[in-house]
Amino acid sequence: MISLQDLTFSYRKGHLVLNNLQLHFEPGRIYGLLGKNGAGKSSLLYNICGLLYPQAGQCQVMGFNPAKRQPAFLRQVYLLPEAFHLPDVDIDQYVRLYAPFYPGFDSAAFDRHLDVFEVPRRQQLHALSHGQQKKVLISFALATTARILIMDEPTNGLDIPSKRQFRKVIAGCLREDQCMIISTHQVKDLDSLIDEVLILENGRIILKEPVTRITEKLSFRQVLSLEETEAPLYSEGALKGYAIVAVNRREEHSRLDMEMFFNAVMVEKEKILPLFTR
Amino acid sequence: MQFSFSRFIHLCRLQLAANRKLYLLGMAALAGMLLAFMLFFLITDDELSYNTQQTIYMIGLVLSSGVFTTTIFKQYAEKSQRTQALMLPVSALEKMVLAVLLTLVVYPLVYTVICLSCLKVMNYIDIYWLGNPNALYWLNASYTPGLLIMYVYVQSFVLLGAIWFRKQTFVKSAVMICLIIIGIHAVHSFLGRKIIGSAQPANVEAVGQKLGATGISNFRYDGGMPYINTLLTASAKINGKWDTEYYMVELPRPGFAIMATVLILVPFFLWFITLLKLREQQL
Amino acid sequence: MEFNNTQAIYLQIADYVCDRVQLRQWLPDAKVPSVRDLAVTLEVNPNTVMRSYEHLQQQGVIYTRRGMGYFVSEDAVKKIAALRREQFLQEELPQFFRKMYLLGFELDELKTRYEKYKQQHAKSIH
Repeated sequence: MISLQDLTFSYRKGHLVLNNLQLHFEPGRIYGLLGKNGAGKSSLLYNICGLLYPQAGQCQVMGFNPAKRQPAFLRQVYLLPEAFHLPDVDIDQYVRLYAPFYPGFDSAAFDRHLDVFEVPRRQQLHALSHGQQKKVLISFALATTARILIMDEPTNGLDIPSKRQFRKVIAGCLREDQCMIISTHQVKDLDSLIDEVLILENGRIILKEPVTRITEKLSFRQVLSLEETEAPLYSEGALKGYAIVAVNRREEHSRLDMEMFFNAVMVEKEKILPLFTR
Repeated sequence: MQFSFSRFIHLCRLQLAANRKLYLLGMAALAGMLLAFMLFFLITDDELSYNTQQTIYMIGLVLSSGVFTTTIFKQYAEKSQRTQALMLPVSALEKMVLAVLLTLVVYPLVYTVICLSCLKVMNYIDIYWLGNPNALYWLNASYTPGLLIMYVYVQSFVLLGAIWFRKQTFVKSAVMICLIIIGIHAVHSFLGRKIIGSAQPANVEAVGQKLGATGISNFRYDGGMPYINTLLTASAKINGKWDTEYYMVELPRPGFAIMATVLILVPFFLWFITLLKLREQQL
Repeated sequence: MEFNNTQAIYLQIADYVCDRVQLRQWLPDAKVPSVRDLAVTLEVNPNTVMRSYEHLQQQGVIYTRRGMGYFVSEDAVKKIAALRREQFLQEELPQFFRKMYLLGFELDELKTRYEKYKQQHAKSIH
């Protein structure tokens, strides 16, 4: 569905933001894009959307070259940016103005999502708080039924109940022909949604693995003392003992703690990444 | 290049709805400023003459349309809006046609209606309260076509500036226009001198007598617009002194035709560059 | 539903389904919620629910009718009980024994306590 070949991107000459990326995204999956600040996450997403043009290499999205930004491409791709701006109209007007650009727009779904998010209708958008505005935009994004949905920090600015509502809405939306890419620092909010983890560091994808394969190779446990198991790959002290990441030798299926996994990869790259080489 | 009429209509609706408040406020502010200007001339000149009305109309059109046109692409310049504006499923051509329609057709119409209404009011005051029998400026068959052509030219440049400069669009566009005017003037002079060279009219004396002057010995090219054949100006030496009178000099037909064609193509060329700039906007 | 931090989510979802069946909230031959509905209820990726259902189908707890979704097997309760007994023996009992051993208990010492617990439990049910 999305295929990047040798994709290289830089804002200025000499400083590569994305370095020779090879990537494929399949439909029917939710990808979680993780990385430190400045790792190149947004640049990668913008290249896929055609908002930035690669210096070298190829980017193919649903058979389109994104850089051309043809309307037929744009109506199948929805980008939910981290910072956004909404016009000074009410919610119904917003839908009336913007929905016609998306032929697949599902207004019943839009209403359902707004209900889940408990956003009041008949409101001027500018009268809503930033979090409420974001919920309107998320609802709209999902209702466009765009085949590629890219969300940059979607849970930023949402309050605690909204993060649950967000998971509910996303869980009910994903279609088989649809691919979602979520870039986030708040992995705890989203880790039950993500199928496949991508970690970007210094403009390179250092890891791209399905959650199932990560938990096949690694086990995530709580232990009282570090002595009771063989040396873990990575550990974090917790109130009652330690949370550890260890090699999965007993074929147990533990729950992926995405935040800890990310930290573990950042600290113990040399030990963890070789486990995933094919 | 793709153009869908239905998408274009949706884009128009979106542009007007998203900027509704700005446009309404802008129209009110425009009327207020025009009235203030007219009042200023009414007080300082004790009347609002036909020529003053015409000047206000023209200066107002040039300045206010510049302000309007420099905002026409602001959604592609402002950081908070750029991403969403660029991701909207419309083609660059549709955006461009909308911009041309708004700046070259809708804006002058709206401006003219507002300005003429204001003039009508002030003219009424001028005549019936102050007792000055001034004619009302109600466009002008001899000036308006030329004004419209100038308008299209300047606006086409401003349109390009609107997409070219992301920050301080108006100031930069204004500087750009000034530089272009100076540049065009320099090119005109250069072209004119090249064309005329040291050539002299075949019958200097006869022409001079026809014009009521005697002792004309030779002509000198002063400047003007070689693109428009009747505006090429020159002065003549009469009785050994350079005359301050201006004389029209016509270009020969084929040269004029080529230049006129180039002239007509300039706005289209500018629109094309604007379209390309619009198409390759990145974050 | 709150997920715990240790077990894989798809297994916790399978447990959730087994609980419903054992508690007779979902009866044999009744349709279980669609993948999407359960995903929304539990706020998880539908693919994870799919994996749970496939896992349960392998265990014989649910079965699929083409184009109609998943249904509770007729002998699901029995199968779940057997599976859970096996799981208890494999996973929980060794831990229990380990603690017993550490604390120095013998099986006989616990026997009377277990009998008493059974009596109380029987009473509380009636």
